[in-house]
Order: sequence, then C-alpha cells, then structure tokens
Amino acid sequence: MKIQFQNITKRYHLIIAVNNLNLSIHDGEFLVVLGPSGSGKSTTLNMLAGLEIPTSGYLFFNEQIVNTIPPGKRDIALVFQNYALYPHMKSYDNIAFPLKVRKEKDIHQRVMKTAETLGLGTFLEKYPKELSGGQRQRVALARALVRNPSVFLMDEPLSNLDPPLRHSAREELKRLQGQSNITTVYVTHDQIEALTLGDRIAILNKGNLQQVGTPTEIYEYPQNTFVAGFIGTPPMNMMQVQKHTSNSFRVEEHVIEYSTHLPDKESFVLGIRPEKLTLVPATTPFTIPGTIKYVEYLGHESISHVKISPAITWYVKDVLRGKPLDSQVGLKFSPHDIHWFDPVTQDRISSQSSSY
Amino acid sequence: MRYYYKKPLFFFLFIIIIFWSIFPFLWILLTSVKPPSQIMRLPPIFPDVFSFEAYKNVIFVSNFPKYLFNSFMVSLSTVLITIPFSLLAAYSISRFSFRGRATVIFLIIILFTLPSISLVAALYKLFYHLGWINLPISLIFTYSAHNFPLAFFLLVKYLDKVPTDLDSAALIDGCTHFQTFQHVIVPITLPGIISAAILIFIFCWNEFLFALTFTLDESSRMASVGIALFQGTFEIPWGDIAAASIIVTLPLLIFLLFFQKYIVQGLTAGALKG
Repeated sequence: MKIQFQNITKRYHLIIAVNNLNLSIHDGEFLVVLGPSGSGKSTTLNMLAGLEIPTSGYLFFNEQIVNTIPPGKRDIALVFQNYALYPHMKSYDNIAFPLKVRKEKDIHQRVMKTAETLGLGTFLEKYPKELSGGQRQRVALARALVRNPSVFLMDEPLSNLDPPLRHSAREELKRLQGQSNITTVYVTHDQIEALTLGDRIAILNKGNLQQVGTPTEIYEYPQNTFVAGFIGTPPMNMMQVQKHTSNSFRVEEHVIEYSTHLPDKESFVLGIRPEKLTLVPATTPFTIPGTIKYVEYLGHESISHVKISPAITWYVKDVLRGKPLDSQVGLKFSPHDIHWFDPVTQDRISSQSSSY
Repeated sequence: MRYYYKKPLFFFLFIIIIFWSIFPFLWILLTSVKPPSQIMRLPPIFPDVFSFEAYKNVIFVSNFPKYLFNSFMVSLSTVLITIPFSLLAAYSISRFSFRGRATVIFLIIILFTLPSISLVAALYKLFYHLGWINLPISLIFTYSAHNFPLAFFLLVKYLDKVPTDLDSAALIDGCTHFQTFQHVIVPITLPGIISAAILIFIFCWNEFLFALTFTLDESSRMASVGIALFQGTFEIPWGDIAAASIIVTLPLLIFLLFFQKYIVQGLTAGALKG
C-alpha cells in the first residue's frame, strides 16, 4: 500500500500538533518517524490508524482518501508501546480476536501459523499478565501480523524492553518486515532504532517535518541544525562563526585559517561530527584551539570535552595521550567534513566544495 | 501475619476498632439465642442454654420471609436497572469528550448530595398521584435514581484506570464502539461492576426512610421496616427482633464473603497492569 500525506494539519484547540505535513510512503517501505516527545509523531501515527481525524489536508491510501474512514476498515494493524493486550483473554484469544471480530475463516490455522513464526507455542494458553515483557511484545506482534494487513504501524514497540532484548527484537522486526514486505510506519524517539531499521527516516520537530531521507542521507547531509543536533551520539558540534577573509573565519577572538573557500555569507553556523575531529598539539596550523576539560572513558572509545570559548564545549571522539586536563590542544578537521548552516534559517548551506 | 508482630500499636488499635464496630452485632446475636426469660435480665448474662425459638417464630410464624422476599426483589431490580444505566453513562464520560460533559458530571454530583429526607414529601405526593403507593415500583424507582450517582462515580473511577490503548486496539482490530464496549470494556470492568452492584444491593437492602414512607401495609413491606414494626401480642418481642436482624444480615455476609475479591479490586481499582 502506498501512503501519502497531503498538506495534513492536526490542531487541538490552539495547539498545532502536526503542521502541513507532506510525505509519501512507498509500497513495502519501512519508514521510521523520528522525533523528540511532543514532535507530533504519535499524532501522525494516530491519523494513519484512523484514531484521529486530520483537521485539514488529505490522507491517501493508494488513490483513496481515508481521512474519516474508521480504523477497523483501513486494513491496518498497530503495535502499541504498552502492547495493549486484552488482559481478560489468553494469548491465543488475543491473537484470534481481530479475526473473530471480522468473522474470518480458518481462524485456528492462521493463529497457529502466526504463533509458530514468532515462536509463541507454549505461551498461547497464558494470560498477558503471566508473560514477560518480551513475550507480550511478541503476542502483540502476532495479533498485528495474523490479519496480514496492508499497513503495519508501530508506536515505539521496543521501548518497554530491556536493552539486550531490544537488540534481538530489532533484528526480528527487520526480518519479519523483510519477509512480509508490508508497508511499515514505525514511530520512535530512539535514533539507533531509526538508523538501523528504517529504509527511510522522517524527522519531525514541533509538528514540522524536518527532513526525509535514507539513514545515510540523514546522517551525512542533515538539512538543518535540528537534524544535525538530533542524530548522532554525542551530537554534532556546532557554533556560530564570522567570516574573516574568504579563507579564514573568526571564533570569538581567534582567527582560524581554512584551506578552501568559505560559503558566500558574513556569518554562519559551522558543524562537525565528533568523530571527524582529531586532537593535535596546540600550535598546529589550520586547527581550532581549545582546552581539554574532561575525558569520558567508554571502553571502546573515549570522548574528550574540549572547551573552545566560555560558552562552547565540543565533543571529540579522540584522546591525546600524555596531555593532562586543562592543557591546550588544537582540533584538526578536514574541510570536507564541515557542515555549514544559515544562522537565521538554520538550514543547510550547500557549499561549493560539497559534492551534495 | 508477620506485619502485626512488627506493629503492636497498629494491631491493638485495629482490634479495638473491630471490636467497637462488631460489638452491637454480637449483642444482637446473643440476644437472638437467649431464652426469653434471660433477655432483659440485668446485669446481662451469657445464656446457659441456646434457644432457637425466636428463629422458628420469625421464619415460620411471622410475615418476615415475605418481607425478605420483597427486599430481595426490590434490591435486585434496582441493581438491574442502575448498573446498565450507570455503566453506559460512566463509559461515555470516561471515554468521550462532548459538549455539556462537565455539566452532566456537575448535575450528577448535585444528585449525589441531595439528602433523602428532602425528597420524601415530594416523592410521596408524586407516587400518590401515580397510584404507586404500596407498590414495589415506587421503591425501585426511587432507589434506582438515588443510587445512580454512586454507581456512576465508582464505574468512572474504574474505567479511567482502563488504558484507552485497549479501546484503540479493539477499534483497529475491527470492533465498532459498541463491540469494543461489549467485548473489551465490560469484561475488564467486571470487578468494578460487581462491586458497584453489591454496594447498591446493600444500600437498598438497608434503606429505611423511603421503605417506611411508601409502603403502608404488609403486602409490599421491606425487611428493614418489618424489623422496626415487629409486634408482639403483649410486649415487644426482643428475641424475635434480634433473630430477624440476624437473618436480614446473613445474605449480605454471604455476598461479601463470596465476592470479597471483586469488591476489594473494584474499590481500589488498581489491579490492571499490562
């Protein structure tokens, strides 16, 4: 099923939850809707499910407008964050319920087949409260899958699981979706889930769509400072700088030489990912000067906190051995790894040197 | 039990309060099995023989079984009327937002606070004109309206604890709103429904003021009034009154024991996780 949002807006009294959303979801695609809480991602999902009706705009399933079609008639399934299993029914009846309500045939066979796919055999005779979080999650998935819906919706289905379980559940989801090739919309605030699961990611903030793209596009070419700061741990380092000459810029009182041309603006926001910076001795040319304030040791890597000015501290995925805290260092970077943003609109500036 | 050893003061106060509450009942229980000659003796003595004469009197001689039957039918009818109405009302208040929702809740609160005594005269006049005086329907009518707010608030409180995701899940699984109510909401709310039903039953069973006012003769008399109007030939039959009091309490005790689990669940409304 192909899904299209056309100028969709959802308003609750004076609050705009989703603002003029335009988004196409391809047939068979796994789209992740990513955003912080309050970004409108759950509202978007509820409109897809038919639990909320858009205030304005059109929502298409293939060529049909579905704005006011009730949830039961949309041929969709939704997996809830808290699973929403019916507590008074055994797992078997939970899974069979959507089929029973629709008076479909071969209920028993279909339930057993789905249960087998998800390895639910021994849990079928148990009530939800007798199951662990991971088992409940699989029963919820089975209830969604058993109907073989055209669209599969998921509302943070993994966020109630323990971290190790979450990892394996993620793989399982990806595998299931790959097998069934059902159009899937997955809502989450977890960027790792988004990057690992999504064919494409749509990033929302305060009801506005920020960027849609493949994980690579989102990570390597963030379209604005919000996306740049939201994706990546630690997030992209950013600061506002002034143009000095066409080959140098100013950070507070420092003048920093730059080996290629700067964008054609007076001031801009400079962004660079922590892993693209290296620490070098303070006097090296073409570097940003700073002071090491703190080193986070994470085992497989270390993150240095480098203070550039009283207000700005950058994260660098690098350590310089033998340098004590509070010593001066230089941050070395390659011009190719720099992202430029407009300080007013916060949008990406495609620089001449960039291939994008 | 370990809890009590750790908290002697709590245990002590607990015993005092329980004893304080249950003492009158024990007194009545003793009175009901004393031989008539020992009932009024001062200081009171523990009966040396148990006499069940009073129970035989109440059950086989007096009209009391008929009163019990009346009470039972009126209470049951009230429950059967009140619960469906209050459940539907509570469901709509708990799940939907609509114009006038706050007003509806406010009006029900007003209904809740009206003292029965302020209604008696007006209702008597009304039922008199309708020709309902001395008919059980007058009581069923009054009780249903009077107990509606209590059932309503209990059920709203219970329904508010049922996650709305369950409603959404049922809608997505293909239910209509009414099917959602029928297949998901009602079964999950069952403990709340049962506890509300039992409370209403108990209130009707114990009600005295309306029962006394609207029923004039023995044909429709309720058990609570029957006890008060017990008449002996020459003296007040304390033994019979005590026996009737015990008999009238028994069904409630049996209910409470049988449905204890549901009542506690329904009143605490915290038993719904996952």
